[in-house]
Amino acid sequence: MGLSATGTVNKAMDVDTVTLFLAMLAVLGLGFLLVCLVFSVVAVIHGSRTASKRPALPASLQPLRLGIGQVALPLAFLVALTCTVGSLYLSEVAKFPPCILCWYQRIVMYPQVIILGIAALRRDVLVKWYSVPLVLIGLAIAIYHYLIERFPSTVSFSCTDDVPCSTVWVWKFHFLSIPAMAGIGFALIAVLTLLACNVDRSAQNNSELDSAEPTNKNEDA
Amino acid sequence: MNEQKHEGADPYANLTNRTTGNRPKTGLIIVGATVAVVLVLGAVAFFVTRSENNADTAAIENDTGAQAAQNAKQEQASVTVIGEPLAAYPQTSSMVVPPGEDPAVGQTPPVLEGFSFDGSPVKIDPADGRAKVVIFVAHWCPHCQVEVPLIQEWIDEGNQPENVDFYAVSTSVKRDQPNYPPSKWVIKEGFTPKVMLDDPAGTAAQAYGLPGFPYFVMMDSGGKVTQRASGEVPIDQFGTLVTALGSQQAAS
Repeated sequence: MGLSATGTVNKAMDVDTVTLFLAMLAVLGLGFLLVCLVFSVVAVIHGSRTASKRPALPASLQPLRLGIGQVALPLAFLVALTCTVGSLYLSEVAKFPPCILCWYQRIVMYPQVIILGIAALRRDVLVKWYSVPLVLIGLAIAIYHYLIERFPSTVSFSCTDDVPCSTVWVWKFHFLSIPAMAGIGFALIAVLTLLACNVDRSAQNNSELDSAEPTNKNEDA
Repeated sequence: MNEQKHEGADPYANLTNRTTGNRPKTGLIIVGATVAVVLVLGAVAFFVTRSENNADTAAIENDTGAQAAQNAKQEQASVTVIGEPLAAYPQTSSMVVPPGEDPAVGQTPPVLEGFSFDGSPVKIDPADGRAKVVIFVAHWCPHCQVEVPLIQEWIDEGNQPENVDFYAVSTSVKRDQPNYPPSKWVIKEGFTPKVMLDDPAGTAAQAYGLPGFPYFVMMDSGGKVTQRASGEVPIDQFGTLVTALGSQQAAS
């Protein structure tokens, strides 16, 4: 007569461990995005005080900025890989069936592993022209997915026997669901590929600066 | 020639000696710090999920659905239906069917005899002389997940008329769907109405003509259906319907 829940405890614990880990990575990513936002504001404020009026970080933050730019493409690749492996784990191991919106996000995310992997090997910062438009589409879908999870009555007012897209499979830290984590992944990839692009620009600028100001170069050296 | 083509895309091609001295070091530090943080997070996730105490410490009232759920032995149970099933739910675009359009209004729903999570018997008997609201919910349904806490909050605010009883029926239970098991959900929400467990075939839901989740059947003290609704009914509207049901009984 009864249906016991005890048989699923071990698997549930494993799934809980993985989803908690993914959620913590998402929080870490979100923190990085916020730091980037703060640095952007600092760059705008600092740049407005210079003669060129263009956004520029203070000299003390430049090494950090360049260091991040140097590893941005490999990190973007790792973000895409983590999102892809996490997504496959949730559907193939945890057996959470992906809804149609999940599939749209997968269509965008999975190729990023290949695209960004090759770009990281080739150090091809021009990958931003292929990667960023795609991940922005993914980000838009993830935001829409998250919103209908939070407000399911905006798309339907009742459930039938089919599990809808608004079903919340994972809920961590009172704000993170699967599409929220995916959205953070998309945003991270976009920001990291753009940061890698800026390294190129910085390098070029530095190169121009160096050739124009040999005295400074010698001083630094 | 080809080598030249790629130089423009290489962020490191134009670097000068001034910057290359520091950058690999900073890059290595960033990669190292990232790896270290990820490893720490993995360890934290592992230990946290193994040391989690799932016991709910919230105060649970006696003789409620949540109390039965605390001693859960089962998530589904057999249901006995006595009487004719209700008429099919009409095709409608509104959540609350106007009584004039609902063929079930005025009908007497069948008696449901079943069990709760702890194995205690639960009987929904329209002829027991009490007005009642029967709420059918599915644990995985996002609309039910929104509606149940709102209903409980409404009850906790003291809005439930004394002459109206609330029952919930947990139906369409699916192990592989989110928010399983429903007993845990009922405890989390501190849900006070008694909960009857439907069987895997959804016998109780079918007998009451369930069209979707959540689903509400309201009946007066004479055991006649006065109103049906399906969907995430706004809590104000739900409150108005239940208050009206209570007022009708007090007047009659």
